[in-house]
Amino acid sequence: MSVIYFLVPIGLVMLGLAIWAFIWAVNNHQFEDMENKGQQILYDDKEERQALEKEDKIKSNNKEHL
Amino acid sequence: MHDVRNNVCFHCGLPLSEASSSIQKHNESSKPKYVMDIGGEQCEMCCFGCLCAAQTIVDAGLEVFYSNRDAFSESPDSLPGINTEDLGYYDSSSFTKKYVQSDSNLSLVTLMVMGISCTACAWLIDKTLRRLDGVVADMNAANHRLTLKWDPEKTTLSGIIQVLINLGYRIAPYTPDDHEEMMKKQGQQSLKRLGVAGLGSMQVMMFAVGLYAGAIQGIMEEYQVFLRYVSLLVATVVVIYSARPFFYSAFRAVKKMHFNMDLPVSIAIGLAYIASVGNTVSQQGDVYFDSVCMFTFFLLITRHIEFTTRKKSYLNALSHSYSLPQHYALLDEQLQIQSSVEADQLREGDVFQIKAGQTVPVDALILSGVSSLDEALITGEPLPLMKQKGDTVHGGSNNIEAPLYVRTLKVAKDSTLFNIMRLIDRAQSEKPAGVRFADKIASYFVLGILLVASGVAIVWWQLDSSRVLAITLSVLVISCPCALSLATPSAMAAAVSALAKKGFLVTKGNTLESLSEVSHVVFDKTGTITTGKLSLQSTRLYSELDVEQVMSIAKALEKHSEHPIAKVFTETPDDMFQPALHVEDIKVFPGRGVQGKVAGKLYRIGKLDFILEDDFFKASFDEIIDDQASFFLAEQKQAIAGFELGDSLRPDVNETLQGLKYKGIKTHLISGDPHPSVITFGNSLGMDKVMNNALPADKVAWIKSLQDKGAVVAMVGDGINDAPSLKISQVSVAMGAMGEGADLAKTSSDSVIMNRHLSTLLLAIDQAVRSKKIIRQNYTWAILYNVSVLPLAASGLVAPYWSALGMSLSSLFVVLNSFRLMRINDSKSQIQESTTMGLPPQGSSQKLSQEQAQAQANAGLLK
Repeated sequence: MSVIYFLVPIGLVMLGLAIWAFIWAVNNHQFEDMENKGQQILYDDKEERQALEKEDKIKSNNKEHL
Repeated sequence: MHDVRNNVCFHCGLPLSEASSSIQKHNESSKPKYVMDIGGEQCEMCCFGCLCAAQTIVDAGLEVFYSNRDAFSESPDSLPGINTEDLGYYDSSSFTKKYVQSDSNLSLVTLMVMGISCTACAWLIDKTLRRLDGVVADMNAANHRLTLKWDPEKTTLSGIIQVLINLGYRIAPYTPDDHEEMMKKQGQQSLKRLGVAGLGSMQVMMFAVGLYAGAIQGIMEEYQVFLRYVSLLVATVVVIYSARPFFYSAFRAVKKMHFNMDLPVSIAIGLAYIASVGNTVSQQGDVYFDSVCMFTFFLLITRHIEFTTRKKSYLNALSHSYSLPQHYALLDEQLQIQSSVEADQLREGDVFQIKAGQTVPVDALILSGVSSLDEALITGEPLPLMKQKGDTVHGGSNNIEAPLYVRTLKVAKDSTLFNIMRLIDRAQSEKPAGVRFADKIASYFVLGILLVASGVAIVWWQLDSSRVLAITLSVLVISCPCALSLATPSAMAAAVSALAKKGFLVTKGNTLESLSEVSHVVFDKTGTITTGKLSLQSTRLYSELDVEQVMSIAKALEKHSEHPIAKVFTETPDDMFQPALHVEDIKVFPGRGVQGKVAGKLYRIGKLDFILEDDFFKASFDEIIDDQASFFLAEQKQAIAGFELGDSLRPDVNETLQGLKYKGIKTHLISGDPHPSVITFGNSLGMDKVMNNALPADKVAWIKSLQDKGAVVAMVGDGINDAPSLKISQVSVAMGAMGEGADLAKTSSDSVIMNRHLSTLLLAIDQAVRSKKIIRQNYTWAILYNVSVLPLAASGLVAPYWSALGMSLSSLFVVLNSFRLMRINDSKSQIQESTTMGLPPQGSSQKLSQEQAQAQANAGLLK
């Protein structure tokens, strides 16, 4: 059990690091726009997919014409 | 959500019939339709503005925007209008000096974007701007702010702004707001406290698991002491850093001999912490570090959620209060343009130009120029006044027709407009601030809890002194009136921010409370029931020319005039009448009319006395006595046409009035209009009482007499002349749109209908009633919970950490219940459903609308 004398301080150091990281993030405005940034990548994805679908359609149309 | 609904605009979601109402009267069939093919679907738009925005979006290949968004876009037409030439101002040195910063070789500016309705809007803006060369943009959807960096060598700010305008948004330079800065700092602080408390609780809980397990299976004294000391260390950080606001707030309240809910919270945290420290040092008894941390953490969570909602609704209100910058050309004594300045940069004695269409920024003396000025905002006089050299113009009035060259008499801060604003401010602050219900209850409640807790402590001291501390703590924590004190604010914050999204801005605290009890709604006529804009009601022909010919002549002539009446003719789309005619020898008489030659014939258009003034036109008009027409077109000795101009009804007036009637609310119309036709007009609308020729004092007296009979009155009006009656009614609602500048009626009222749809009032009343219901539920829950768990805690059945959890869950329940108000079922169908149920049978409502049209025609323009 004496290992806790070693592990608990390590845990405390990590706690300190976590708190420091969190405060750093808040001070750097990382939490300011919670809605937008998360959705952006999804929107981009959808847009790309739609563009691809469009291309496919054009290709298949062209094939039919040939 | 791909929202293709019938009869609403694909882009902005407004009803389709509305936009072209001024044209309909002439020619129903040629009503222009704005249809576009988007992703294989025929999408109909309400107006040209929406069509342009949609076209721009589709052309950029970004139509996925429409499937991503979860709210309709704002109609570009509801946003303030812009003059494309004015865009140059954004590149001028005076703008740059005021707003733009320089970052190495890039320029940096923060702009407020108007018209953002959801996160998809932010995506659209980000995406579009990223494609521009030399532009770095960061769009924040939460506060509608766009941070823009651009390379001045590759592009101009006006170019970037033009792109945004094409997408259907409007831009204003952002000026920092103190309260917002404060809220931002507070928000960051509260988030940090929350984070530290959360991380700390997790750590202390881990040690606590060790300690509890040790208590059951046995643990060596040395490890127990070690774990307790470590917990003490972490808990100290949490108590000192995260729980500090509770101590401060409780201390402040006690100093004022007032009990708030932070008092029992502080006592519980402080007591538990000190006792635990004592027991740790003396190595006996229990420790409660885990409960201390958890309690703090849960309290902070609920507060943070409540704070975030409050901040959001404030930002929402703020982003609606922005207006486009007005800038003026500064002149030297020879009237040569020197530079452009904004209103607050004008100094006494400066000579500057006020263009047609601009707001007069300060009190000033006219040096040259003749124009009509709209002083409705200040005096309530609806018709423009003519002013010329030597006259004084007042800050806040609107220059309608022609440019004026003026000298500043008083700087912005001392001008009429600002003085009136100050008066209103003062009146506001003199209003007795009622002590809020929740605070009062919580205060008694806290006192009760403290008494009960000390009673419990005394009893247990007698019974089993070793358990006194644990049980007293449980009682204090479990009965903490957090839920109680969150009941009202959380519901209000949610309801208000939901309403703001629907175009109803609440600016004062207890507005919703009063709105839910409204028994009478008093309407003003011009600008409220009617649109306040002139439109053509009917045309009378006196010669062989037909309507289309007459209209195209009138249009060709009026194109050269800036008078509001001219717009009635020029705003009709080109394709409706013949191709534009060429006019020669044009002569504009400001405030009176226009004269010009079309196809070799000399015409005059204007008021009767203007036409009769010249013998060339006189003769035939002597026979025409027509009390309806007020505007005439004539050629040599020959009257051609008479135009009846009037104010048209807002499209959703009927819907609104019937909705109110269905709710059992009485509707009154009080108008300053002296003409007796107002009475028939009001009656035909189905108003319960109508009064015409009412002075501001009469309006106040009327409302007072209603209030004496116990009525809760909501006054809907616009314009500064309504301000006194707006102030005296329990709820005041102003009609206004975003970005329309510092409108006095708006600033003095409790709420503003931003989207200019009268029917939004119904929505707001519904929401007010709903929030009242939810607040009542919250109180019931909070009180029930506290009363039922108190005996359990007092009898020693609940451990401190369980009571912390119970308290938090109860608060969370209240907050989540309030969040239900964030959603408003506004589907028009629901309103219509409810209105048709309370309606007279179909036939009579048809008849009603005919009578109405007649009465409306009678009431036209006879102010």
